[in-house]
Amino acid sequence: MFFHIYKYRLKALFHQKEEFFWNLIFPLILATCFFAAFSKITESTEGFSTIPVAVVLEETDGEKYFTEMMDALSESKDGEEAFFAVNYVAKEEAEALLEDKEVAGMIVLKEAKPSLIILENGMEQTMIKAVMDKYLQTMDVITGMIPDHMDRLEQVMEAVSDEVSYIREQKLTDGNIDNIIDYFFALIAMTCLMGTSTGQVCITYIKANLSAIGLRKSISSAKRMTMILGDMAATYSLSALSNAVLLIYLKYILKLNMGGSFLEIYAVTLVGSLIGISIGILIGSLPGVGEGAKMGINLCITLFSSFLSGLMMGGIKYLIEEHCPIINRINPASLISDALHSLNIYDDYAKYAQCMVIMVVMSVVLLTAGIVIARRETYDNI
Amino acid sequence: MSESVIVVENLVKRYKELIALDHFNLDIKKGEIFGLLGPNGSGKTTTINCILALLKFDKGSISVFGEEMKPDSYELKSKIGVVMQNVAVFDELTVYENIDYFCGLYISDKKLRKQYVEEAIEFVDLGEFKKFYPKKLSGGLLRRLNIACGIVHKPELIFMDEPTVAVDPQSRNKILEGIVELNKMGATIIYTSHYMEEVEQICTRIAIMDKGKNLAIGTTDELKKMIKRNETISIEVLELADNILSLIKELPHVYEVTYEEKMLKVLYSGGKHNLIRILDLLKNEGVSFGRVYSERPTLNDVFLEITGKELRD
Amino acid sequence: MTIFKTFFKVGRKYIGNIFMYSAIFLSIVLVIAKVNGNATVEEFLASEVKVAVFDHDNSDLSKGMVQYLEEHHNLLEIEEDLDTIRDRLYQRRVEYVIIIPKGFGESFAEEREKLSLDVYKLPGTMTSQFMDMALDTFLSTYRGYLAAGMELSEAYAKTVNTIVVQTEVAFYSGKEAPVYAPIHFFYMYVPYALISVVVLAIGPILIVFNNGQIKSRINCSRVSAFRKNMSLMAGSGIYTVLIILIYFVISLVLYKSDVFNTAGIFRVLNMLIYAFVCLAFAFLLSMLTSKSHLLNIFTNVFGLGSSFLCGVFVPRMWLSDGVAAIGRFLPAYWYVNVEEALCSGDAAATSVIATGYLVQILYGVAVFVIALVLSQNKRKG
Repeated sequence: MFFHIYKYRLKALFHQKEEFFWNLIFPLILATCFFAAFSKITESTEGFSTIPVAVVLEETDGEKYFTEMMDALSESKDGEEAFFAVNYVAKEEAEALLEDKEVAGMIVLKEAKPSLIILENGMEQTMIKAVMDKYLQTMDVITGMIPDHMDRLEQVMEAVSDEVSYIREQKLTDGNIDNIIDYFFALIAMTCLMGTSTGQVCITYIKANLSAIGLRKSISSAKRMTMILGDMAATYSLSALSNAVLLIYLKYILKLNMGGSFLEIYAVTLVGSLIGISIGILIGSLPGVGEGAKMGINLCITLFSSFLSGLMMGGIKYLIEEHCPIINRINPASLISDALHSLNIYDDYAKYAQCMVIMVVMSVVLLTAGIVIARRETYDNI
Repeated sequence: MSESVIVVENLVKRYKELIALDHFNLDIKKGEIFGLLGPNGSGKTTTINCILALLKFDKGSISVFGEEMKPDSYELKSKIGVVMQNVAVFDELTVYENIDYFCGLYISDKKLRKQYVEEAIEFVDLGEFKKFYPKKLSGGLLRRLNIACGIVHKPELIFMDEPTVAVDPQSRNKILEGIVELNKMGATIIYTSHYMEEVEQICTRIAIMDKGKNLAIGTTDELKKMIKRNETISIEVLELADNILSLIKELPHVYEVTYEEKMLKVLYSGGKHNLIRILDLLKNEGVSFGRVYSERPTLNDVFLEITGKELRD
Repeated sequence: MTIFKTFFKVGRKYIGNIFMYSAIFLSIVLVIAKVNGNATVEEFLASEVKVAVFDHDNSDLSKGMVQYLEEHHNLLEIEEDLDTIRDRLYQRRVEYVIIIPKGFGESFAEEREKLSLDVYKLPGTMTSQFMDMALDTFLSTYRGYLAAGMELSEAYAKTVNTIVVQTEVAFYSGKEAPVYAPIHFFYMYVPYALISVVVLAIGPILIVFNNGQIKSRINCSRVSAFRKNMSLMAGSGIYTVLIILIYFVISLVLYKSDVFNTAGIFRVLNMLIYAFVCLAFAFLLSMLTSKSHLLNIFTNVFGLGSSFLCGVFVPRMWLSDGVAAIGRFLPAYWYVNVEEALCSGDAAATSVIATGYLVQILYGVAVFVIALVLSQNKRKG
């Protein structure tokens, strides 16, 4: 009987063409919007690119060392981008370039000292300042050699201008360190949680006071548990299909690096969908609450959960982790996102397993509660 | 004496201040087509829902096939079929699939189920419409589908709650014939309606209810005998003098005479040749008359006499 | 008037939804606005990098470096565990992690190959470049003083003195930087809330009138399609104003006098216009579907999608030109234009605001006209 119910419910779900189509398509559209919106963002905020500057030489004293340094920094080396793109201009032109944001800053060299004029605060401006600071500091070292250490001036200059770096970079991870991927994890989480509305329908079709079909089913000799599980399994299958389509799109068409293997990520979505449907079943079985109100509750849970996992505002999950971590331990979207994040960043599966276990336990508890409440079959009013 | 299939004793059901069922009693025997007749809001559907353990009730007892009906009485439920007032089918499944689905909730055996489904489709004459979706069916055909889904598993006891509402005459006749057929095949049927003609036509025993009370139970003839009225003769008369009215009143078995809007109505409490007598009288008095009707009492008359109001409001 | 009055009778059943959805989306907007909203800082702050250091050397040099980092950057304590380091870096709670190996200071004191600092950093980012530079500068300066023949302690002391030599920085006074008051952040995220609330709360009421047997019944009556639609728009317009009122009152409570200045008034007007664009969409959707739960999908896709593409959730300057071009076709883009213009204090702001209003109005009218045409065709068809 289980397969009989499952088969027909699945058929009915596929026949709801509008819903089926849009539920399948909307995560793909959103993923595309995210992908488009974020395509430049990492480069814009973090990625290094050549900094355009305007240089105003108000004197010729000491200019040579400065311009030599700036010219050196304007050359690209070893295939890497040049540090600066320098424009030697008069003051008025420099101000115009600054106003139009054609340059990140205006350097004025006066009395062998550069000063910096900027329009706004930012990383580029900080980088310009850092180079100017280095110049001033190098000059400070050299002038400090006068008069006592002049005999070692050559060695000192060699030491301060030596191109050697004292930094050795360690490998962080094979995964994707670009935290924009968090938005996509939150999107996957939201897609899983959309199962709340389909879970609610499972209950609508089983309770005599919620639908005519529910009434007919209530008086049949089929066991309630079989009917609920059969409907739920069909809903879950559709959800699994939807998740697979989304993942294929993200991994193979948008070519996002999400860290883990397809199966590992897919397993997270399967458990995530289980939570979503379980929540829907629990909400759907609440007595005395109208269908419209239940839909609202489901929407509220899905939205808030997704919001707190970083769907609209990246980084909020980490703020919550700092101030109230328990929310992240019980928020289903955060659990899904965390599981995906752990696949991305960590070498072992400890955190992944932890998230999966919590989610499975949550699903079982929610589902059990929902089924127990829905079992009540005698009403005061139909 | 046939065994009782359903016994309802002293049933009381309240919806807050409103008493939906007021010490209601019922005893339905095996093999009957039992009619529950009453106006809208009299408690027919409430009675059925209580019997099916869908509704809680405040007092009384209900037994079905000798057992107390509970939500998990799966054995009992397998013997029961229900055709509810609201059409309960999946819009996303075809006619065949709907019937198969609901049959599958009772019958696990695939082969047997296929046979039952085919028989049900034939029974409601939906053979041409097997692959149609419910949205494409007319009201009558939809009702037939609704019935098929309720009886496909060949239950011993069938509840039919106003199955012919908003149905075309052809479909209605088909449905009524089908019910009689089901009964002949051994099913006990509880049929609720506010259409007295249907109830009179097919039911072996009828209960008339109003405001949650059982007003009268019996066969059609038994119920009609409960009231005074035995025959109503109506005659179109253009003009009628008062003295003639008095003469008519003195005819045997006459207990009420009215003359309104050119229609003379005479109510008889008995007698066999009432029509000849009155026509003779009018002829002798030189009264011209037009059309003449003679009617036996209907269940509506029974209801009217017991409650003072019409069955159909 | 019948349809207009009936709209409210039907709407009584759904009025709860208006408040519920308003509350849900308002909460989200308020949280985002609070977290993101910061007043501009006028002084130049060389961006402080969030650094964590693990000193395995404990030499004067290493201790000196730790002190330097503490004074000039944001030194944070984290567990010395690879998973923690990865996590913190990924979350950008730490931006640069330094491990000073044992013997580091010694290697500088002696004439031998210098040991390196082991660092974990975010590859290809500005912060990592910046920190690389800062550390290299520190150490090369120190080496310079050692090369001059100074003792370790003297070299270190001089290094610290040299390192504090800073470039003079000034803000250009020719043009005012945009001022982002907290109220800006509230009104910036309102479009996302509005499209969702208006469509989800009012859409179902319109669906009742535009579908099924009720629609057929109205179509058979004396009431023309135009009058019917006008009545519905009027009714839903009143509910839309109710929704705006809720947002207006909240912003009044939070931002007080900022609401009643010129910019504030323009903001409220912007919100009103955008709300009516959302209403036009609700109207169109009610013609296209009879299923209320599909409205949810629309608000997710359109609401979220346009919020990302038009500069609501992702600042406009971070979007590529191609994406910005696509965004221009969405009404939220023009809403954001107005909002940005209100912050810039630019002389050209007035025309930007006027254009923004106009485009949104035209958009709303166009969507509404499409809905009316559809309604007419359905009636005939």
